[in-house]
Amino acid sequence: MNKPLKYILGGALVIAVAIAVFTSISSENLTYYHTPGEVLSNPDKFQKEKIRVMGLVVKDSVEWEPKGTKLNFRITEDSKQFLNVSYVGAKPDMFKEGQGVVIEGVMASNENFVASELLVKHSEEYKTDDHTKNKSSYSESLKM
Amino acid sequence: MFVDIGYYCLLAAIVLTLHSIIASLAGAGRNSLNLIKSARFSVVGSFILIAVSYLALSYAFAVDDFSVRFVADHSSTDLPMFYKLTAVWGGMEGSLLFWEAVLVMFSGIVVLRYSKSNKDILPFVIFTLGVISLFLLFLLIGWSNPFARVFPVPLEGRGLNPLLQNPGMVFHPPSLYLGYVGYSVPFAFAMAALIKGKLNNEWILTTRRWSLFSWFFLTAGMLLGGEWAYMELGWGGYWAWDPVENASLMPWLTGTAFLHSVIVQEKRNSLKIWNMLLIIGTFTLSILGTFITRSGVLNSVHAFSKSPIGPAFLVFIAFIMVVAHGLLFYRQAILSSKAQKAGILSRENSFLLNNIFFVGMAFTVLYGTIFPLLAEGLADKKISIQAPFFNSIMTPLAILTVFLLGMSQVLGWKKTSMDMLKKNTWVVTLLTLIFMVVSGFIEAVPWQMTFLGGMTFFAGYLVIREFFFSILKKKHIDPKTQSEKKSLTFFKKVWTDRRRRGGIVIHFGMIVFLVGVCGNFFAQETSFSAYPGETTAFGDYSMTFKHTMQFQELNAKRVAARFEIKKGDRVINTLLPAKAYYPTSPEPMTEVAIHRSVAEDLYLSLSTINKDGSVTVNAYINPLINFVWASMLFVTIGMVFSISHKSLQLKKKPISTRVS
Repeated sequence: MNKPLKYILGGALVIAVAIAVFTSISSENLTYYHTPGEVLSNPDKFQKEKIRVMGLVVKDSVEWEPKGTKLNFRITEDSKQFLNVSYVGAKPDMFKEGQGVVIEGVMASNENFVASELLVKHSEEYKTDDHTKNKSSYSESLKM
Repeated sequence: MFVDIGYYCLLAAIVLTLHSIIASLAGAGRNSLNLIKSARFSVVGSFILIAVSYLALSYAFAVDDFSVRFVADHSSTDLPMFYKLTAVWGGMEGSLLFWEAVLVMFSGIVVLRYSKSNKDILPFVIFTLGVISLFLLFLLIGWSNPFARVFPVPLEGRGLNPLLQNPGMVFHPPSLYLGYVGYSVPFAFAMAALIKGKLNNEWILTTRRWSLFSWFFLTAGMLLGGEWAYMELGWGGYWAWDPVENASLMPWLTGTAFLHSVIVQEKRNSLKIWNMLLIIGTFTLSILGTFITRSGVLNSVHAFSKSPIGPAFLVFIAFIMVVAHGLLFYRQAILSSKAQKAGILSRENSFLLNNIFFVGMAFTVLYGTIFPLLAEGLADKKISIQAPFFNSIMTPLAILTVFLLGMSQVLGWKKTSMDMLKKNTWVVTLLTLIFMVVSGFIEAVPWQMTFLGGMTFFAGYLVIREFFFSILKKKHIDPKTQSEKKSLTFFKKVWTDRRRRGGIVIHFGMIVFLVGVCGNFFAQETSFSAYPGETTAFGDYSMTFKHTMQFQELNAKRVAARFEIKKGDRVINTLLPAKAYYPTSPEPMTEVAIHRSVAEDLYLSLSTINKDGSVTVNAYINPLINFVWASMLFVTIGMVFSISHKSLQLKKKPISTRVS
């Protein structure tokens, strides 16, 4: 076998093994994003599997109980289906009505989503006006 | 006025850069020294032009010239002058101008410094650097123009993101850019060697200091970035496998592999193709790092395609990859080296393994960073790869790498006798095993900590031992005369053989860093609410919330919660975690308060000031975290040693040519 071919075959083999290992490991660590609608249409499916849900915090839905640091709110994407979320922990910065959030956790039996993690979606590009821009587009989408 | 000058300087720099590209190639082709000389002048000229352009933009920031869109977007009149001047790299356009300014500065140094010593490959070095510079200049005059105007002129700028108003943010980006751009010099020399077909060790020896320099600034940039994240983001940590962080880690990993593998080529004349691949990879990852942090691809893959910057970067990256690998393929016959035999237990083999681990880690990070972007772009599926993926692969690889770090201290070149190895390592092996048994079985800490801690102990012991052994050994060979030197003072002994000493000190810095990383496994966190006068216990501390207070600091108004911290019965500190209100930002920023000690940090971050008078606080205990920052000191000292050493073969060259 000539030399370049040997290298190419060897390289391909290494890459194949690496990808196989990665996909097997990462499929355990991959979390898929879902919409509140997807979760609500099939709540039983998400009781065991940890998922991430993206949505906007619904107006007048936030209940914050400082004692015990309990946070309850609803999120939506299409202003038709609303997912109840409960979270224990401090309120993240910039968490407020109309803000886009990402929650991670599982569905409880009572149609409540129990979030173990709560992230506020804000842009990576360091521009202050993005927040206001995002906010106005979010509130527009809420009105629709 | 100045703004126009800045823009015209960019245009003029394009002309000079084009000239340097063409003249260097033509000069090399026709063997015309005059043409090459004119190319060198063009490089220096474009450096002066870009420097003027950079100063013009800084001036626009200094005088609040909001007719410039970039200034209006990233500054405001209330900003302290210090942050106005550093806001230049607070956004994409200015960052790219900074990148370009550093690149032409390095190019200038290269043409002035290596015009005699490397004169047969220098034209191609100028050519390669010119092509990179041209790409950035095209972005800067068009799609990413920092001098673009806005009309009507706003009365006030939008302000600099408060997150960036921190001393750490001032030094972190330039440091990273120095590292990223620094790798373009070894890359350019490697390409020049490939084009010319002069594939001895010249390019490696000439650029040794550049590789060290770039590695140092990448390391410093990441540590500064970690410190900044720790202080500003308020979640109690400094690393989260965020794509922006990964972007700087990837070239660091391949760059570290490169630093080691070039030593093998230098000493043993092997791994030539591998070194080429590593420098091509490192440079490409540096460009990719800039692309990931600056193109907006992370926001959303779909938003990214709206701006032409992202695709332009991708095309450029593809261009570099294709041309560089094509050249390498074309020259492979000259590069394949006669393999010199080495025993299994040899330093070169430990370096080879180290390279495999480092490249494996780089590949892991690349996969974890790129895959979610690809999945969204191609399959329109939003997924996230999180810390557990990275930790589950990186931790075992890191453990093996740390083990090698220790072993390479006691392995010699070519081969090491088993007896010698046993003699040198049996004590530390025994101690490490005891350490691991105690931590794994008696203390029952996680296995990752048991192994990482054990290997850190193992490597740390051997590094320190090597440091003192190499100083205290009786014979000291003078590198200049190859004769033995005796009766040196301790400090003289430390200063001789600086290259080896520098390496040992930098490795010690890595050990200090790893000790800090091990502390992660014992971190604690909680969040609680407290009314005035209420005391909360956490770890060994008891924290009493006294009252809230307001004060002004620079351009921000702060509302703070005053906490009295007690350890046992003794009051040890008063902490003021706060919310800071910046005039230009609609949202307050969280300003953390930390009680630091060698053993651990108590870290308070104010979450909410509630309407009922209570405050909600996130509290963290971070053991050993200050070791992470302390590692910087040793890396710096080691780097001074290493960089001050001059390559022997380069110095000897004039003599050997005279002899032959």
